[in-house]
Amino acid sequence: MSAISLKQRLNPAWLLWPLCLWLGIFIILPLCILIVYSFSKRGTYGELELAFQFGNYAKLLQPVYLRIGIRSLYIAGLSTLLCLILAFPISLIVAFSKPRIQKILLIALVLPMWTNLLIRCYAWVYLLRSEGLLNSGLQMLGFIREPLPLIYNSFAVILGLLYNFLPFAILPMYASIEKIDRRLFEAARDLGAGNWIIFKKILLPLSLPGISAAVLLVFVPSMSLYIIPDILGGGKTMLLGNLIQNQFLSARDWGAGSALSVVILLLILVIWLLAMKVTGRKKLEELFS
Amino acid sequence: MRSVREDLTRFERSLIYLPSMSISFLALQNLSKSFSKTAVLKNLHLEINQGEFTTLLGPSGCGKTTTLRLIAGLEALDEGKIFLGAKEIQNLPAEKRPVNTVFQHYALFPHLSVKENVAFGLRLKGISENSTEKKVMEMLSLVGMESLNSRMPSQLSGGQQQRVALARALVMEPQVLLLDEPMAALDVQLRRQMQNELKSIQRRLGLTCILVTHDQEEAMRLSDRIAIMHHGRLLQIGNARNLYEEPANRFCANFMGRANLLPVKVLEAETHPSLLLDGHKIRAPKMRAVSEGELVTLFLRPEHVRILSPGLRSCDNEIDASVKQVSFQGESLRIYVTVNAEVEIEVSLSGSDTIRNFNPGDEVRLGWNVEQSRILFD
Repeated sequence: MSAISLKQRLNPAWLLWPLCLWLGIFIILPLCILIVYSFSKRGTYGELELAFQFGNYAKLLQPVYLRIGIRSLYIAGLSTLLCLILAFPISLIVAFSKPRIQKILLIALVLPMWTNLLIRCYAWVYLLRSEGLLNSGLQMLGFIREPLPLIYNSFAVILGLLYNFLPFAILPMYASIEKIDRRLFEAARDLGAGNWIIFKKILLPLSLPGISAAVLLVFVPSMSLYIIPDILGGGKTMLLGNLIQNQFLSARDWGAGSALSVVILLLILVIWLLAMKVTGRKKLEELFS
Repeated sequence: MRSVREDLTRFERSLIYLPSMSISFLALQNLSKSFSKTAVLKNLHLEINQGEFTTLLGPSGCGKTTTLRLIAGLEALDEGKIFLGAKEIQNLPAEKRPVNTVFQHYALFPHLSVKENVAFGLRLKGISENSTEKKVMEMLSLVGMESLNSRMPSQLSGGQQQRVALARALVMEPQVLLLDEPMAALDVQLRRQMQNELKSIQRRLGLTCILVTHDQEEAMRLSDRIAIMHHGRLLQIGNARNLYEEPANRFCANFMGRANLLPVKVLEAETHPSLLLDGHKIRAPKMRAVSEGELVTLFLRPEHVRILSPGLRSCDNEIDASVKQVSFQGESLRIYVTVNAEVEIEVSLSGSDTIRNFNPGDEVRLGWNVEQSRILFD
């Protein structure tokens, strides 16, 4: 009774204002600034001159930038694909283990993320470099004579992305698989389906929301993450993230950097809309809440 | 055909040759199953005839669902054999057995439409798209769902989901249809309706069905034969009347309908069989393999006990008792009487007797006839 009257007195919309303020100051406002910058001109000494022109966007169509864009898409796409392939069986194992083991496995998955990304990246450097643990170990065992080129290339970047984003792929896929009613597998078997058909026709379609969520959580940040390409790629493999950093800090071309950021944002928006279309908005929202 | 057969006397029956009855169609031999050292089934034997509707009836945990899952192949058995026709099927995987299941919560595929759900099994059989489509629509019209064929399962009511689940199993033309408490999730009215529909479809198609339920009313309404299970064992099998009138033991007596199970002592077993019930000497049905002084159970259905009007003596056994509690049930009047503090008897009056007025403390005279009582040993 009193709860109802309290609810009636407090207009719920009124309670939203702190969130709106937060979003306004930290998301909307910076976004607006970014958009304004993206249309502005670069002064002689790298200062910004407010203007309305598309020069910064036109610049992005230059082959150098296009090549970096395509390479970013390719590396993000490949690491996402590898992530999915690796994450699916792991999610299956987690989802089908006993509740106690499930908890342990989930903690083990999340545990590394409690360490700083930078530190984890340097740990990989230590493992992968020419005098690193892996190379010197293999040399000592006599498998190789010369150290393998394990670092400062695309391989290292993909490995780093894979390592970093695997938990982000496993968690939504696990959540999705966990929700599937096990009796559906029995029903399919009862109707004559073998393991392969059950996988193809029941398990895979029903874990689609998880797969979509995993793609979003892996592909989108892989495309613009810059620490991993910077440290493991050794600055040799320039990706979009590095390019933005480069435009802002080294080239002092804030206009081009902003335009690039806006384009990436739009790209991410398109990917989100696609994922929603494929999966159905409701199911995707369920997974993220 | 069946009902005619049941009306015949045993002698008449022996004169006709009934091919479908002569060999059992599905035979469960010596089935045993344990889950982590807990024995769920112990040496179960059961033979089922073609076209017969058999129900496995029992409380939860009695092993009835496990039996069904063993037949379906969803559970591997520890010991025993399952014959379907002349073929041993216990080693076939579930997907290769010619039996299909209607699951308790239907287990419809949520990402497939009604039509796709029903077509699922046929597609795997490699049947042409045309004839799959035709069969699916035929089956959906049989269960009255053809107009909703493009709906998703989440858009259907419980009863409609049930129909789709039934169609999905039936379209496979199973040699045995397995039903795992299919009505448990439906409300009473809908359950009645679905029971009638299921029975009429079963008759029309001559289906061999095995139903698992804990609802004795459902079992009686649907089954040709009922198998009562308890603690992983088959206690008794027979038609509903059989089980109701001649329960094999105390558990069966209690599980099918209501029963008075009275502790009695055998006074005389052979020529004039009689018992001692709480100090009263009463006449008893003929007993075999009992000795004088043995303690046994007298089984008496509440509706077979009468409350006699004063002066009118018409029953084989009569004893005085006092009314303890009266409860009006609509179609019947249930009266609990005590002979003394130890022995309580339930009496159920129906028809015009329900208008009689009884109050706690009233002295009444109970009566029953010998042929309506039975002696149970365990």
